[in-house]
Amino acid sequence: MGKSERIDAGTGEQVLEVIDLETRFFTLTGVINAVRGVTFSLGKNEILGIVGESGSGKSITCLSAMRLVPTPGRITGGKVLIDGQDIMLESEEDLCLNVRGKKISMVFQDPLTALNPTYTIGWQMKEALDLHSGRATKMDDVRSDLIDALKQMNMPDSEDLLTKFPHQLSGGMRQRVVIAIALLLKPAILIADEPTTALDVTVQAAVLDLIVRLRDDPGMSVIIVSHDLNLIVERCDRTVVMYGGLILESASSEKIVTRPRSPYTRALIHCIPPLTEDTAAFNAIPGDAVDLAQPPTGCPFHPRCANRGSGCDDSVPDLAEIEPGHLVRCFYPESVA
Amino acid sequence: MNDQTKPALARPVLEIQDLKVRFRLEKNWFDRFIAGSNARFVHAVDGVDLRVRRGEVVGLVGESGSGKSTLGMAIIALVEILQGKILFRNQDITNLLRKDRRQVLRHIQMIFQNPYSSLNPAMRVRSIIGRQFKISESDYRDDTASEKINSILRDVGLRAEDGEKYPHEFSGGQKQRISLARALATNPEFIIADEITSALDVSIQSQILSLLLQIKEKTDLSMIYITHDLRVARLITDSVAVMYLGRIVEYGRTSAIFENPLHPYTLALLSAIPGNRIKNPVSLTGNIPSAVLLPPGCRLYGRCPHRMDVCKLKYPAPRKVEGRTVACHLYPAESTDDIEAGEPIGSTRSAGLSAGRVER
Repeated sequence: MGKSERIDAGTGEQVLEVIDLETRFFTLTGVINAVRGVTFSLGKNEILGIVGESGSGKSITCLSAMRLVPTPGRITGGKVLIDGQDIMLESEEDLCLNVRGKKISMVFQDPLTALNPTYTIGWQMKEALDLHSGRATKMDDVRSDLIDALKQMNMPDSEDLLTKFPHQLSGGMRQRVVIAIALLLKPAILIADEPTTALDVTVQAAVLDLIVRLRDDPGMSVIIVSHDLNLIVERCDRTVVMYGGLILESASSEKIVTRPRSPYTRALIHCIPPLTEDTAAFNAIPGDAVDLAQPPTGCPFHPRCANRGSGCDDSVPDLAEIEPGHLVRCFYPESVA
Repeated sequence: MNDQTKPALARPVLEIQDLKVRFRLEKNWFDRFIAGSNARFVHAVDGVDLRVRRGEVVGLVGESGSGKSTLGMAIIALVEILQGKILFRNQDITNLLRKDRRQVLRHIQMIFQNPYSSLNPAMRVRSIIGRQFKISESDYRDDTASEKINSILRDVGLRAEDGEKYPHEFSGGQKQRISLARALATNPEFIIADEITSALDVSIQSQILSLLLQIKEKTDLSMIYITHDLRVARLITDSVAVMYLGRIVEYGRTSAIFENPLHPYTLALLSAIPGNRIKNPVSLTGNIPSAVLLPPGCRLYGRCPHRMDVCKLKYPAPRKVEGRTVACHLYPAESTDDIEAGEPIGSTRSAGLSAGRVER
């Protein structure tokens, strides 16, 4: 994979560039290639969606972008540029003080595990401020900032909220608190990793709308990671489809749904139950999910692929630009109907 | 899915009448003693009527905490029933004695959400399925059972050799196939499927769903399909019961409900499906309230965009609207038992909500 595979959003400045990223997990039973050379970029004020099933490497890509890969995982190659600065070269201390929280922030799937059950919301918000500024602040000095941050997340009674514990809040409220904490230091980039998977559908929409609104106020770039293709394409400008640690397709969200070129994307669209009478549009993807410990040779999707032909089991195709802004990794891409 | 009711569908296999299930909040004897007559209860299922006909797949949908799983468990006596009746083939199975229960429940099987915890890790797949025969058949013989097990494994898309393996050797989707095989082993008339695909990836979920569609096509199995995923409900079910805080708020044919939701809660659920374009979507504010202190009026009162004064005072009795059952004051009631507090709103309002039909 060369650097010629750079994805350009087409619009101006790139706030985050991930180039040829490789992350491996060195387990006792063998090496797991979780991310196998991922390249993408995030433009200013852009909302990028990363969609994939479990084991696709979508979450590890995001953790790698913040250098938060848990042991026994390690980033074994590639660069992550935030504002043009390679964070792979920085010390852990610099990262904590100057990058995480200030430039790039992350929201995780389960708000209950992201919050400490033994401390109040106010304390945990202040902790985030203290940790990333490297000094202790007084609660009275920052109280109004914290209340503002909570108000920005549409939370009523923000003042009372500061003295509450996580268990006193509902799932949707907890996730809003987590997002508020992530935004405290006004980062330019927010990564939301399955932010609504643990929430009920009726709450999901409200939380996602809050995240999408961050683009305009205060003007951020957002990455939303999800297994739900519909959720991603509905709210993101651009969608990246991952499978087996590789990007298989990347294009504007509209193109992804209306003219998918990767057979995997097309199969993914058809295996989502339709909301119409037309059950013929529903087609299952055969076969098992990719086993990252023993990935198939060649394209990771080829054992399940309807379009597979000679060469698919031999080598991994390059991520090629078949139309401006539309990248596909496939030897036999879908034809445009 | 066809909309027409097949003639064979007419007879109800399962009938639930005014079912109530509640759980005590005070779990240990000391707390119960202290609480005395002030004991608090979670009203998980609070008066549900439901009929499932032969060959029909009824979906139970709703947010978490709506009581849909508890209702499923109540049918096969996994939770204690406070009030109401469950009739299976016209036989009352509500409070069966232990010895009779096994005879009846072999015809009703349940499949659970988590395939990792619902299969015994110490048993081979062959024994997991074979045990069902041992329990349900008086003339059980090892050699004939073996052939049956193989054929059931093939029916759910596994190989006969897989019978020799242990559950941990399978992926999540395959485990769910095993659960399905176990449920089908006794040749049941009725299956309760509780969120059976929600722990699976989309591509694996699609395999299980198409397997279910095949089974539905081939047999006249009746099913209660519990799910929070309305897309899945749309695909699998013939009719849908939308539950909210222990009660059914709307019940009718799946196609009718998805094309023209009548109850504000149903409309809100449909609006929340990612990728669903609805003309005038409704989003609910707030969260599902606690099922401990239930309000006397409509349970959606605090969150409903169409709330009226009468909603606060009187729970809307279920009424027939456009061939469906809807529990909402927006529609005229048939009887007068719930409208003392105010005039029912006529069809003008009903037309307003119907404008929320799904656009394609």
